[in-house]
Amino acid sequence: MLKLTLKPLSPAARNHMAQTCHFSGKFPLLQYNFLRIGTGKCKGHLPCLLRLQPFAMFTQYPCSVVMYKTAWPTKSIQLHSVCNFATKPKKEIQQVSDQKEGRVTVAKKVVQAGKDVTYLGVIIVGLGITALMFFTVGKELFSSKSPNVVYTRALKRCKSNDEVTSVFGLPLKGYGEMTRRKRRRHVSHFEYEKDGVMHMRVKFYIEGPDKKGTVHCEVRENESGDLDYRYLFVEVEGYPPQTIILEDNR
Amino acid sequence: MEEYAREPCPWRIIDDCGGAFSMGCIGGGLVHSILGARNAPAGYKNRLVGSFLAVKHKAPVVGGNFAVWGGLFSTFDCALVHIRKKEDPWNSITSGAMTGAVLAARNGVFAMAASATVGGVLLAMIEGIGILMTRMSAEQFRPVNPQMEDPSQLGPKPTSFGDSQYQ
Repeated sequence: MLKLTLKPLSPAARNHMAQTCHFSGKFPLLQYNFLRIGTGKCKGHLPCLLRLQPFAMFTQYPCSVVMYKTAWPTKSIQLHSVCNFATKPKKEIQQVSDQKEGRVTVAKKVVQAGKDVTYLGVIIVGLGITALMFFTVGKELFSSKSPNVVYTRALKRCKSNDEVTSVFGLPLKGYGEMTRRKRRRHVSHFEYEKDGVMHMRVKFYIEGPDKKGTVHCEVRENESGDLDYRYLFVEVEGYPPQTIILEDNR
Repeated sequence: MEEYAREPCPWRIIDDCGGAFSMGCIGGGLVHSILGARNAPAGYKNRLVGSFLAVKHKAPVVGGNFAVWGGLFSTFDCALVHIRKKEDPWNSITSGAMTGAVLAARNGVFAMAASATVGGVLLAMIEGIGILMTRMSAEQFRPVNPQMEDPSQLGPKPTSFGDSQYQ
């Protein structure tokens, strides 16, 4: 059995709460988790069982025991709790487990490499999709050959044209096709190539206080790479049908 | 053509608010059903109850947050449409940034700027998706050999005297 030797307390420290103790000898009791301290009964709030930390069973390092105020040197020692095991055994255990886990086999390496490649692929695909989205938006908003820019230019042209403003009335607003979610941001457009020259048709709607209408517009690329109007006209809604032609360079 | 007769704008705000709320409720419900089950004590029944409680408590909160975002966003969008008299992708990007800024208004100027950037970038990405989708669906219905005839409203070509096909 385990022997628990306690240093005798000096008379001055008798009332002191803490007391050090040493386990001496080997620890034969691997199967016990608890030590019964003293011979008295366990009473109420005073624990009389000493719980052994798991690694305490293998080692014989000093521990310190915090005692309940005891009637030392009588035999019934009632322990409050156990704490402060030396760190040394912990370290040893740590090292052992490190050695076990640190052994990297070829199979583990292969698995890890496969995981890395998969994650890298996911990251690259995500970045690619993000870049594609930004590229699309940038092209739509800033490139001089996007339908949005053609729409902006044509709308400005309509707003500055006296005939259009006299028919539609003045706060003239423009919008594109209505989507299911009641957004009208995207103008409908169609790009095609004829005799090797890029053509683009854009259709959008304008609305003033008096009338509504549809603007049809076609642009083509000229020699210097800019877009010229092939035609631009406004179809006024209502009867009789009325068409205001702003540009006709066919 | 009757859809074009009705102006979407002020009504769209309520529409968006409700749409965002239901979206947040569904998404938040899914997420919190999983989180709640993971966070619950072990046992089949406990996990079920934990999941249900988490959904009950948190899904409406997520929905409410979404609704605030959507409603504010749509309000800014409509205001911009009214001011600029034009509907284009800039509106949604700007209103996303403004929503982000307003919702972070109590955290100081820097937080507002950061939140506005995040909102703008997010909405720009959504716009990008929208443009890509439109383009893809347009590509699907694209005729193989388009015969692009000029619209009849323009009348005959004015300078087509030398053109052989009209003689």
